[in-house]
Amino acid sequence: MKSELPPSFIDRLAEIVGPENCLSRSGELFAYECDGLTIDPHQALAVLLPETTDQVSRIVRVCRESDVSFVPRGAGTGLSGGAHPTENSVLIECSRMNRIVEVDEANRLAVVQPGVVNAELSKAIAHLDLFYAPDPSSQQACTIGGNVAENSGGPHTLKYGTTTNHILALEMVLPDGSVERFGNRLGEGPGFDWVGAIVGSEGTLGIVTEATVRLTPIPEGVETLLAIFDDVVAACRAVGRVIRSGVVPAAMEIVDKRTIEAVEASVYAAGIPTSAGAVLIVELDGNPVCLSGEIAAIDAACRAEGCQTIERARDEEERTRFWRARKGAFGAMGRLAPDLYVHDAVVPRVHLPEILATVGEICDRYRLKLANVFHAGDGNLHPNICFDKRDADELERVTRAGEEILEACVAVGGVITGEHGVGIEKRDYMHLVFDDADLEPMYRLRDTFNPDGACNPGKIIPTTRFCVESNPKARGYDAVPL
Amino acid sequence: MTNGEEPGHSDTAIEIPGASVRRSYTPTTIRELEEVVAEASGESRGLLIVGGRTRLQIANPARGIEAGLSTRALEGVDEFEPEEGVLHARAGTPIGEIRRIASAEGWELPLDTPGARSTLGGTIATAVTGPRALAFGRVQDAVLGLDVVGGEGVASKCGGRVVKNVTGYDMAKLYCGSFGSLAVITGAWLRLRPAPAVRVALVVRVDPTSFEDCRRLCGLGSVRALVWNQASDSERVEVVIELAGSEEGVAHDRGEIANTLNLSGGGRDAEVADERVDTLRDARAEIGNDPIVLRARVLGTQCEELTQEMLRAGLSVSVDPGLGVIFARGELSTPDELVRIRAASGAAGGFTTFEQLPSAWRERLDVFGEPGGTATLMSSLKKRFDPMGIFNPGRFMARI
Repeated sequence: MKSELPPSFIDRLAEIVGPENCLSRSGELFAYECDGLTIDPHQALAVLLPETTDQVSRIVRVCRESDVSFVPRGAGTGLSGGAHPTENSVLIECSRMNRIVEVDEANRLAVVQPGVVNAELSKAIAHLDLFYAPDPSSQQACTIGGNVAENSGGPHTLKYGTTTNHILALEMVLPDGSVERFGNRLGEGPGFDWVGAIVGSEGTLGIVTEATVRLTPIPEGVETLLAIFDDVVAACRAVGRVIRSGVVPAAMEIVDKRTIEAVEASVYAAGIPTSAGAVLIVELDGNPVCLSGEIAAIDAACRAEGCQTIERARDEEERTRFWRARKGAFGAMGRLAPDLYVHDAVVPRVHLPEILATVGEICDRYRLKLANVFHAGDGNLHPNICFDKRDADELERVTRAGEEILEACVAVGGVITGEHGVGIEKRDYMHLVFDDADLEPMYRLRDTFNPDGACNPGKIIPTTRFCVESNPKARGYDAVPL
Repeated sequence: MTNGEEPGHSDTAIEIPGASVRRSYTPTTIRELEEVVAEASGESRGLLIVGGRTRLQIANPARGIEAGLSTRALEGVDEFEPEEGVLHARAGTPIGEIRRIASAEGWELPLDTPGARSTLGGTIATAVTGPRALAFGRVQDAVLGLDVVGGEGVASKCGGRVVKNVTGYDMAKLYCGSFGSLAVITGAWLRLRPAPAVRVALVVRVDPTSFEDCRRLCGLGSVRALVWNQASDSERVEVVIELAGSEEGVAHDRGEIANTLNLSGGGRDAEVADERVDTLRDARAEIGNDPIVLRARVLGTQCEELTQEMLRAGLSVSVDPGLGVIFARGELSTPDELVRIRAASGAAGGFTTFEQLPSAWRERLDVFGEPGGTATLMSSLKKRFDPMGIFNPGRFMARI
């Protein structure tokens, strides 16, 4: 494909961003072949590192003239392949657009470029007693632009919501190269909720070049509890009791036995007895006068499910130690096997106990090593399957077990991704949740912005579109001039 | 059926800006509704989509509407999981009924829709909120999944029943607040909130200089509504505050309110019936005798100034200082005054919707405002979702 392009193509791109920000040698492109999903890597024709909206717009226009696709990328921490280069594409890497443009303390908002790192934003505004609430596990590296594309969640989603609840306005380069602004500083406007539709669209509607985000006051009081259970099912039941109690914790996370063993054997050791069957981490925040009553409610819910030990963090150091059991999990699991397949699915929370048993049974049947770390309060499972991709048979078993896990989650009313996105990873599983009639409006939304699919092709929705049978009395969609 | 409607056809005329709609369909199943839409699409006949008919005047003059399509007979909460705090209701279900069913199990519906007759479908289509948006957030935040029928008469669903979901595009966001211009909403999965242990409504009389103090009080954890009521010819302000949460939290915040508003020094707060905020909320949605009712939303820091401007224009106001929402009503002599108010709200980072207008002004003023740069995308999306332009033609923003 590359050879068919006029030789001047790369030169024109280099002219826009400067030669040092246009990578096109194979060795340079290697690092950008995939994101956090390491299967099916592809080399881009070039990787461009623009610094301004205007540069992004000009890159898109040059690509269009040459019939080349373009794929936006933030930090490349995504787990579903949303930032994978595709055939005949250039990668537009937004990490140099990393300025915090404005902070409006009084109205609690900030205007940022897409390459601003999630955790850096919170650090920069901490002196104002404000923070940016969405906290994906990759927050030390991932960018706001990537968070917008994926509608990223995180442990504190339970109380604070996902990225979509924190984005007020966006500037975006449309797939035709024009620049448009959506939304306003209020998070509510007349007309269509474009911002709501763009967040989570995985970079298929355009390239976000600026985001206006909501900032949240740092809560006055925080309490972190660590409850130890004999088994993971009892911990899930305790979560159900908490939900029913009326207390809304900031986070409720479960770590299972295999993960505890891995964490305790690693540099992330949190001092949890390895005899524990599971731990439940509960974080409460808000007005300090309310927290003691909430702690009592959590305590009662956990003890009713057989929990013998509940620890309450006495200080920041201890809080960090508790969270190490959760946040160190993925790093620690590197000890268990060379590769880790991090699954992401959601079920109604009442089904958590049974679905965990099912997931365990599926992995046993396929002789796979499973560890669970998950956002229990949201019903968001992350079954982590340890494997070695050099073993073809094991890789095949991982894939088949993954499919069965998704099917089991959908069967109880769940969905195939809660926060990692569809990308290329789950694109072909969309039919588990949606039939052709459900997918048709999604194609029409995509086509409104990106009619020829040049912007991040092959992501989020299946590449084969089935014609929805409309009533014979109605005229077909194709007859409509666009 | 309620409202004198019968399933199938109805002949009660519906008066809306620019039209009188004499014939209505009230399908009792999704299948029937699909057929009505497909037939209208095949014959390019415009449909007025109605639920409880409480907000039909918030629209530009209709164009080519030949019949009404009511979702009222699609009624009922058909799935409720009290353990999970989610439920599925059909679009024609009155909001009050959903509230009642949720609260019987210790949950609260975070939709603060005005009006007893309002339906779930209408609430979502108009994305209407009330003073409790301070705690409840937007309508979109409560909607987990939607069932709709598109412009060619094909039913589809989006989202789901789980509280966290990124499976495909977030289509529900587009349908919420699109005023029935893209699809007919037929049902929704909703997320509930735990009902608060304690709920108290207070009335406080303050002087007009307390506006910023009141705005700051909206940041307290248990203040979930704070309504500032002021008539144009009065220096007297009535503030109604609703507190909800744990006993400790409410008691603490009540103390903060007393300190901030200096209630120990001669002021007083009086507990009033829990429903006081409901009454104020519903009053905003009433048409009454005022020829003009408008809703402005601006940045919190600009809210006081714009409130003053409305009062100077001779309008009475009901304001949510914590949200930057100003409802104003009364009489104005020329449409230019509304143009000026809209421009002022734009300069204050926001927008103004004209919820009630003299009919002679409707051709000149777009009820929703100007779409700016997104006009092309708006009409392109509309054409793809409603190819024959049969859903509420002419009524939404930019008269699409």
